[in-house]
Amino acid sequence: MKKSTIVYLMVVSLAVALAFGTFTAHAWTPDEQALLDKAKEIASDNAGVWSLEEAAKPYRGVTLKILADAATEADAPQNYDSEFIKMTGIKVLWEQNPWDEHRSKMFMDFAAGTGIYDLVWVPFDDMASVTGKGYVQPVDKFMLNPKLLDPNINLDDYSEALWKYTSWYGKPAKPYGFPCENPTMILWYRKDLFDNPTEKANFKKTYRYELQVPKNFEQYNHIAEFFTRKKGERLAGEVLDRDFYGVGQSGKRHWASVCEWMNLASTWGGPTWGGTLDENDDVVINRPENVEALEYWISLFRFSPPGSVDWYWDLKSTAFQKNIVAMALAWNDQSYEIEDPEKSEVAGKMGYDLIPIQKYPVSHFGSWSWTIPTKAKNPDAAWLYLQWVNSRDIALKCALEGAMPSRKYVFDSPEISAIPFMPATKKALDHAFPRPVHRPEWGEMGEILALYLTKAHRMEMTAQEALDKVAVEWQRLLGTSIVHPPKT
Amino acid sequence: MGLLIPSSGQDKEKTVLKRKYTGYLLLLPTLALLAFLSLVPFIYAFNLSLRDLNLRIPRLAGQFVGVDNFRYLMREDSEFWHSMGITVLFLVVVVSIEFVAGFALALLLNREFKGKRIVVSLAVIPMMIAPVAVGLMWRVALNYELGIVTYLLKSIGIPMKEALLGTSATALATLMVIDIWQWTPFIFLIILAGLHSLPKEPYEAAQVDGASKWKIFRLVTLPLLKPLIIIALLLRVIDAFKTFDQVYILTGGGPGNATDLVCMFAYRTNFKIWNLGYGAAVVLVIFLVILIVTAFFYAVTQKKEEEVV
Repeated sequence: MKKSTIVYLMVVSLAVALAFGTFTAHAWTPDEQALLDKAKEIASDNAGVWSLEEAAKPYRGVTLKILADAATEADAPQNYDSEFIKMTGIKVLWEQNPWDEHRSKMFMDFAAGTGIYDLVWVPFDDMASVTGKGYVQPVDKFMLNPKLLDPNINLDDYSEALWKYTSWYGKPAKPYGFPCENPTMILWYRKDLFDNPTEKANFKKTYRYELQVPKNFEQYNHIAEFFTRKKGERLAGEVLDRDFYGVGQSGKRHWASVCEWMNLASTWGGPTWGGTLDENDDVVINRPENVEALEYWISLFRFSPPGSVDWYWDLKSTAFQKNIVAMALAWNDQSYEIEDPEKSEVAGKMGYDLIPIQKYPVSHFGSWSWTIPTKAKNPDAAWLYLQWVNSRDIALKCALEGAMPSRKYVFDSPEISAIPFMPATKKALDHAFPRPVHRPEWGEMGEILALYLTKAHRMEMTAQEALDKVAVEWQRLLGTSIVHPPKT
Repeated sequence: MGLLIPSSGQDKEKTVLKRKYTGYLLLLPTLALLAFLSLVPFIYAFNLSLRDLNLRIPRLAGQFVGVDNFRYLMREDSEFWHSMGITVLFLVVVVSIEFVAGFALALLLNREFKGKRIVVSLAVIPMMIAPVAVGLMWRVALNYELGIVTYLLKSIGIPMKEALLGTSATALATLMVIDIWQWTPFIFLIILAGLHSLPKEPYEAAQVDGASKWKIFRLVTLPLLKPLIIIALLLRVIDAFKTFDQVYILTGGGPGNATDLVCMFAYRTNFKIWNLGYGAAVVLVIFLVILIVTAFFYAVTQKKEEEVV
């Protein structure tokens, strides 16, 4: 390769990275890197001399209580806890609750300072709150304790963005745990329909280009329109016995609509904090690109089942399972349900890819962090369990049972790579962006956004009016500025 | 038992006093428990409502803010007043319809016929289902693509362009229908029990006097049932005001804020946003409204009783 070509490629790569690289934009700061380096140094010194059995000796007989979400990620480790108990003599008791109930218990326990739980799963939406309130403790002291640090902790395994947004909080930021449940949004599409020769030919005749996985939202719109058919029409050679829709969207006043729309806002106008706040936390939710993205999202409901105005994420996957939708922006962890032949009419017929790009490549991700409460009665033993359950070996075993991986090692394993939606998930993480979870006000901000998104798509107000309203309400909460003065 | 055998006038007085205080003493544990269970949480909530405690926001750590929460609630929180408005609309509509339908059903079934027990048992089934289960059941039934309700409505020719819970125009009405379905049996059961317990003499006297059926209903049945009707309405009004489960499961307060009944608003403020200071103010205002309604019904009952005496 010519030298000039190499230089050209380097310049282009750098430009792309600067323009799109949400991942690289959040690299470790020098302080954070120093902490990680120190931990790696200790891990290296511990190699060959440290053992979990020995480290756990002082805590033999202790019982750890864990409060977790009712999710596969929490079900899976329990199948292997017996190994930990056998090695350490530390017992482990799990308590799992659905999302709302879990958060109630978590906040109540933290506020009361009972110290009942030694480990608590915290949604990253609440991490700024629980760290700011001092409800949970940083784990750097455990990471830097030679007696407690497993040499095989492999800290390089964690995607920076994922780990940082999930578990690093405070100024300067400190780690409070590791990711434990981290769904990412990807594109679901009906591969069998996209590959059907008749459909391909008809699509080309109508839109004058090949039917393919949509690369941008113009194509996404065309494909959504193309596949929307009435009962009695033909789809892939078969007469439809019910209406079929090009796209499935979540329209309920719920976080489902917030997360879905944030993908559009971010790809239209840039992914910082889901396209809602700028680097100074000034409000940009009503920027022109977001208004356009909201208008686009609302217009897509023409090709989405009429009932989808009341959907959150569970009904989206049900619609796929029942074979009435061709495409959607969806959470990767729900893909297991779609690929389950006992539950789904479309198992084995699905394709997965990155979310189409309007301007910036994006993927909205959600996450939960393992944390050790400040009042935990057995913090050292909790750290040992935390370290063990996140080890490569256990993480891989859990991923094979349906838990979403956090470690690169697990993503790269041949067994995981073979799962149909995992390659797309891994790629999506390169463009992963979070919602503005760094703000403790985010809980209320999200509720306000959900309200006005539904008001806009129910045509109670225009997209501009809705986002202006959100901007004003957010400014009241945050006390920062609105970059684009409300027009309405 | 010497206490009960007075030997002189002074002793007699003492004994009366002791009897009087023994009664109070025996009541004391129950009164103390009641006070503890109702007053302590109330005082705690009141104290909380004067603070800015938010479990999510570190700077809002529970400082005393006086009546700021109430001031904001009363003067500036349009969302709260919207919730209050639709809650009043909801309860007026559902309680009225439940009352008329329940009463009519009770009158209809207030006679002996074969299979009466089975019919009555079937009629009260909706009331026996837990509200959460009702919500989940209707959520499936109302699903636009797969639900039985949508299917039936379409099959009888009703055009269904959108999900019943998906539009502001129909979502609240749908919640009302579900509430009426669930709670009409409650009114029916109370009125039916009341009808069974009515004395026969006034009816016989009215018949002897040649009163028409309508007159007997208006001048005999209704007045005799009035105390029961008031209690039934009071319970339903309080319960309808507190409707939460179905809203939480079926609509989450949406679309927009079309079904954001006041308890859903209070839940979101307290347990989603974790603004406990403001949330306590919201809850106290709801409590106050229910207290006023209860006092009104109580006053009406007392008045009727006085009239009877």
